[in-house]
Amino acid sequence: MGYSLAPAHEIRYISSGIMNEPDSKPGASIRIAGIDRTREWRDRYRTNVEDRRVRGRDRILPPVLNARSLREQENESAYLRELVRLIHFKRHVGTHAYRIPHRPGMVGKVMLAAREVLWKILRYQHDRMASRQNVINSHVIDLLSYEHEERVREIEQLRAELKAIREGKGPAS
Amino acid sequence: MSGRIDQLLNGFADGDAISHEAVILRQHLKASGYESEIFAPRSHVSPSLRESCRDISEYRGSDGDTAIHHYSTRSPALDAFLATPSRRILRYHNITPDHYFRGFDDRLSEDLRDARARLIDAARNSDAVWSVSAFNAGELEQAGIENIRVFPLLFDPAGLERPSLKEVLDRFTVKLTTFLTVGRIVPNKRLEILIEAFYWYNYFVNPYSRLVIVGSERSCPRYFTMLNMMVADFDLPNVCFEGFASPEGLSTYYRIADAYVTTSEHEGYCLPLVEAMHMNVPVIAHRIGGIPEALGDAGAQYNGLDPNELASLMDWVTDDDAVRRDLLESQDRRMQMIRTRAIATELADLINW
Repeated sequence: MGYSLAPAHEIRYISSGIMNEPDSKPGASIRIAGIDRTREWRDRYRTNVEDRRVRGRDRILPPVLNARSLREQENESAYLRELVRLIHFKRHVGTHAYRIPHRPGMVGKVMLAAREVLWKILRYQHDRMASRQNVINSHVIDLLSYEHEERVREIEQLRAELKAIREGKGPAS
Repeated sequence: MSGRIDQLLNGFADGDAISHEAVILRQHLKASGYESEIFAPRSHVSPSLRESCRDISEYRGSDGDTAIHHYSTRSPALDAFLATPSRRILRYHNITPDHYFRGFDDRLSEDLRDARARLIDAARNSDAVWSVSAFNAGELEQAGIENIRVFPLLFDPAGLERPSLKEVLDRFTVKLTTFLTVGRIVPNKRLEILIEAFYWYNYFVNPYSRLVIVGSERSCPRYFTMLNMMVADFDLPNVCFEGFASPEGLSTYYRIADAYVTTSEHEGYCLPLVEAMHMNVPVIAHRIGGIPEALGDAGAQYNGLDPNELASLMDWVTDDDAVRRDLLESQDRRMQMIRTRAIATELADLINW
């Protein structure tokens, strides 16, 4: 599997997060208590679905970074390679984009404002902790990568030796 | 009626749907006048169930008796079944297609491919095949097997009637709209679709919501890793992987759920749907495989929805009182049919066939 950005005909699928699968298929159907209510559901929710598709697009990772690529691997070795590749993109804990949920209405807005202030005050400490955690994450992931590379190198060497033995040349020096 | 009808299983474990059914079937067989025991390889029996079954090496079938084998991957139980002079009945619960596990667990993928390849031989060497659904029976019929009867999966609500578990309730004290799914965490369940649907729901419809996933993650750890990574990618705060649940724990999860959702892509029957209906939880299910047979006309059944659209169905079911009422009424009707099954008559018919 390649990791170049998705070709143009796949771009529209990225917005739904499903790689290589269409959005709602032509045969989309909903049966509630045995009755087909697809049309009613469409009339009621079509606008919401489209609106979300636009607003939520930025949070869906492109295929090159999406964990779902792990599903596409042909065997465990390929899975491991893909996991090691992906984890390099996912090592950092970010504190800048936390969403603060709030209830609707005036009380909800006041609570939101209070939480935002609190968040800003605590940010100094949060960022220090996150920074330290990120350093540790980096060490662990680097260690994992080096270990992985070492195992790959060893396997290649063993294969070469095995090949040499089979060809009657004796173990490679 | 008299005689022996024994069951041969590949494993006998708490929380396992096949083991659960074997226990119910044994009760019904004994009630019908048969001697009946469960045999399984000792190494694949939960410690708590050791007294409830016998080791497969002790199985001695004889002419005139009957052996029921709950078919799965290759094990000593299958060998004992194929070697017995007893009348042989193969119980087919379904084998997950191997491609779902490729890359996640190559050895299991091979075992499943092997199990599918051996299934036809095992069915041909059986006097009868009892399938848990017409969907399963169809798979065998396509391979030329003829002696198939559909005997839907047995359900016993006793485990779900137990009181709630305080440890579980204490973790979910905040009232949030709760979506539940139950089952082993394995690739054919397509939980990544459910997690993404929950992302659309939680971020854009109702941030006061949670997704509770109950089931062992040990069946396919690499798939579990992928799901965890997805949860982090979406920065989803309320996705709760609860692991394996005891019967008390399971009933508690059903009690706190506002809706049960399954995005599974391959199911022979799907017992948790019946459990959810029994617990009066509205069901949203992908209409595939044996699921329409488990649900009948009940619940909300969908096809061809992407995760964003599924989120709107989750919204509809939890937010619209009229839809919810229709769903629950349909589920009541379905459960009435399941609870009043004449199992003794069905069994007598099957055994004498």
